[in-house]
Order: sequence, then structure tokens, then C-alpha cells
Amino acid sequence: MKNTATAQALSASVDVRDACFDEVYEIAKNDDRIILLTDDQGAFSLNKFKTDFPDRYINIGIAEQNLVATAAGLALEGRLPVIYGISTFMSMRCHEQLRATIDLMDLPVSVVSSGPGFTYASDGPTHHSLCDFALMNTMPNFHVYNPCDATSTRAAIRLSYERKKPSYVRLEKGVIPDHTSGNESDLKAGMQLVKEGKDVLLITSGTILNSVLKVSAKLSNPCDAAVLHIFQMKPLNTEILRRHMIKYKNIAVIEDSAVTGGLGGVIRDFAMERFNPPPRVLKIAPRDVHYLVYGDRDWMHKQAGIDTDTSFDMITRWLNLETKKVR
Amino acid sequence: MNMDVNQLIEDAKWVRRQVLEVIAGAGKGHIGGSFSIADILVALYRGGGINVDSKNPKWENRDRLIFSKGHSCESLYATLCLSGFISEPTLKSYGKNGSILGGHPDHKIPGVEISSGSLGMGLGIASGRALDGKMKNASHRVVAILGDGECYEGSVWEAAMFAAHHELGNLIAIVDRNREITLDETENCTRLEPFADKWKSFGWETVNVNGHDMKALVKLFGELKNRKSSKPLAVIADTVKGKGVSFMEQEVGWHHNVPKGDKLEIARKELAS
Repeated sequence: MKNTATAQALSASVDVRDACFDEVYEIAKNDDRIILLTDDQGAFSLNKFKTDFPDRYINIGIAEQNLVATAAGLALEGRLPVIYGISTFMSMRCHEQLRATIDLMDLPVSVVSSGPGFTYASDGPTHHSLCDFALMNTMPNFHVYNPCDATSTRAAIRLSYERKKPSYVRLEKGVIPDHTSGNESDLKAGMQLVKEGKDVLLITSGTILNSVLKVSAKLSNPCDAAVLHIFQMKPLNTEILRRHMIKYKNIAVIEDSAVTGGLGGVIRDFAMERFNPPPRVLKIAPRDVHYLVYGDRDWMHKQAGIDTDTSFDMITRWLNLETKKVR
Repeated sequence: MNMDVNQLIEDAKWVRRQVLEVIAGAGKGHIGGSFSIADILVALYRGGGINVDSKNPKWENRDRLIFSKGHSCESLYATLCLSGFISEPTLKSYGKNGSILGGHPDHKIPGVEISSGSLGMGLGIASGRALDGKMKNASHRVVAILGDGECYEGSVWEAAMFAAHHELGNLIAIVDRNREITLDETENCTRLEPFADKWKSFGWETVNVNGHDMKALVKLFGELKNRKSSKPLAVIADTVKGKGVSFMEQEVGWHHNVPKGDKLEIARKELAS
């Protein structure tokens, strides 16, 4: 496979939120069934949608349960709702509505969940979305996408639309380096080997990929670490995943979802089920605590032990590597 | 559709007899609320209160009946059977392994619009469907059936605010006001009164009706077919939980109790007359 190392990654100039709503706009331009609802969550790039499709934009106010139920009703009438709100509220406040209406009736609703992980670090634990993956992973019909950049964000929106079934897209913010190959095969696989390596496999999902690539770079002497980005967290393409994992005895999963119910547990379960002997799987994830401290995302990652340096230290200890710590 | 009130009264008795038998046979079910809603369902489906077609359950122009108080489904199933949506063998399969009729209805049953069972969600779904109808200038209406206890759920009031704001005059909520929940009377638990005032304050029109007066129900539902308003309407139907069986009426405890032995025989006798 072609080596798409960090050094070759393109820098995007598009905020991932703009990428998301620009894609929604493009789809809506050609399909008048698209209707966008929000619980009073704005985005600059939504202004164009509001202006050009005023009858297909509804701010329902701070009422997530009604947001989901109304979207379900619209979907039952043949519309394709896109609902948008802050991740903690979209996954938890209206979790039962998501399950008992959209998921149960398998409705074509795309949930855009803004601020996964520690995106809203300084807003405190009510806004730290650390368990949305765990919750959404239990939904039988939902697909869960966790894009890492503008390209994969657009792809997630497009795939959600094309699938016409329940979809959940974790939406970051900011201008983030673009690593997604854009290859159809990678998108269909739901994952992409962003960096090749023969000694250890680092698995991750979402924009924390950028930190994981730095971990890989730090490990490079003496350890050649591959980096696999999982774009479609649910359902996992287990065949493609198996083909990646089979090459390694040691796999580390670095994520911004809490350790209980996170991707690390899913990978470890898979390893135990499908391999004999199974590879070792190290989980690097926030603990199950309320992070009652305040700072920016990078600082919060350090508090949660998922930043570049902490991840590097954990992996080198785990692998019993003798390394020079390069700061 | 049969507008003869006497026939509709007999239809409602038939529905109650079926509800009794399927619940007794299964050993489970929500009998009290099924009995309190029976007359209303018959007036809607059999008395011309809603436009539906049993031969074409997904007919585009049908009125959408959103059965939000899903636990009273035994009455819904019996009414759907009487109306030709499901067969008698299907109705009688309730409670048996593999039946399509469960303790709460799902969207795959012919004539059932949504899966329900978790209270408080139906009015929001109904509002979404009504909004769509308004946007399309459609002729159909959306009718949501709620329990009064269900109105403890905050999500009901989120939807109520939304529906009034968006002037969904094509939306009707019929509340089965039987004044009981599982463990208590509503007014002892958390007061719902002044109930109509609450709806009005949220921007709805309201009308009260005796939920067991078939003539009044047919008259009201007939009038509502020509209703033109920018406001959604709450029909507060005063009902009796367990209506039709003397020992159940206004006795807390028949939310999901199952009559057996002597009580079952008394119930059968009373519903046969």
C-alpha cells in the first residue's frame, strides 16, 4: 500500500465544520428532502443553508428530545433530516429518543454531533463527550463515523445521505491537516492505513490522529509504528481490520473516548475473538472520571493521559523499549 | 365506516371483550387504559373520525393516527381487527410466542404508524409529521393519542410548544384523561389540573368530551374533520380507567393487573350485556 506518512499530509484550509455543512448544502441543493434541525447550535457555514433554504432550516431550541422526535416524524413522511447539536446532549439527553424512534424504526436521519472528546475542553465535564461512542455503539442500526479531517467529514456526510439509514457523525472544529486519501476503497473499508510500519500498530479514530502520528514519529527510533485510522467506528469492517491486525503482536489504541466502552475495548475484544494467540492490545484512553479542570484541548489531553508524550511513554514502557526521550 | 351510534356502542363492547380475552389468555397486558380508550378508538376508526383505508394502510392521504400511549395497544389491536387491518387469528395470537402483536405496538403491524411504548415521544413524532403535512399543504391530519399520565413527561410539553409555535392546525392530540396512573390517581401524584389551562397556555385550543359518550364522540370527531385553525387542538377526553367492568372502574390497581377466576367471569358477564 502506498505510504502516506505524516510528512506528506496535505494541510487543509477548511474548517471541518464548514466542510460538513458545505457538503450538507450541496446535497440539499439537489435533494429537497433534506431538512436541517438544530437545538440552537450555530455554525458560520450554516448561514448559507439558512439563507438559501429557509423553509428547510428549523431551530427547535434547547429541546433535544423534541429535536429527535420531530426529526423522526419528518423522516416517516419521506424527508431526510439532518440534526445537529452538541455531542454530549445529542448522545445522552435524547439517547432514548434516538434508540426508540430513529434506530428502532430505522429512519434516514443523520445526527451531526458537534464537539466529540475534549473539543469543548474548557467548558467543563458537562461538555466533554467521552461516552458518545460507547452509547451509540449499542444502537443496532446506527452507523457511527468519526472523521479526522475535512475530506473524511465530507465523506461521512455523503455516506450518511447515500445510506438513508440512521447515521451519527462526530464533528470536530477547526482547520485540521488532511490525511484522508479520498480513495473509494479506503472509504468503503471504513479505515485507512495512514502510515505503514512493521513493529507495532497504533489504531486511532478522529482528529486525535494528528497526535498519534507524532507518537509514531517519536517512536521511529527504534520502533517502526504503523498508524491505522478508523473512520467508520460502527460497524467495524472486521475483515479489513483483521488483515491489518494480523501483522502485529503489539497493538495500541489511542482515543479520546473513555476507556469503558471505547474503541480500545472493541479492538481488544476483536483481538481475543479472532486471533490465536491474540495480539497484545494497550488501551490509551481517558479514565472514567469527571475532568473538573479547565484548559484547552491539548492541555486536557495531557490531563487525560492521551497526549503525544504520555502516549509515547506508555507505549515505550509497554514494549520495554530503550529509547532516548526526544522532547 | 359505520355511523350508527348503537352499532358503534356494540363495536366498543366487542373491542372490550377481545381486550379482556387476549389479556386473560396471555396473562399480561394493560387492561385499565385499554378499556378507557376503547370508545374513542371505535369512534375514530369505525365512526369516521379519521380517514384511513384498511386495504391500503399506507395510503398517502390517510390521517396519521399516532398511538403514543402504546401500552393500551390491546384496544388498538382489537379496533384494527374490527376495521380490517389485521385478522382475527392475528388478534388472538397476542401474547403467544412469535406473534406480531406485542405488549406495545410496533411500526410493522398493518395500520400502526409508529413503534411506541416509551411514553412521551408520540406527540413529538406527530408534530414532525404534522409539520411536513403543513409544508406540503396536505389534506390529511395527524391525530396523536396520549395518556394523561404520559403528560408528566417533559418531552410532551417540548412538542406542545413546538406545535403551537409552528401553528400546526392539522394536529390533534386526544388525551385519555382517566385520572389514574399505575400506583395512584394523577391528582395525588403530581397534579395535572388545571389540565386544559396548561394546554391553552402553551398555545393550543382545547375541547372536553365525555370519552365514553359515543354520540358525543362521533359528533365531535365529525366536526373536527372540517376544522380550520392555526392552532393545534387538545381533545381532553374524560374517561374511566377500566371502563366497562365494575370492579375495575376507578379502582387504582388495574393498570396492568390481569383478571382471573371469579373476577374474570364477572368481567365476561358484564361485557356480554
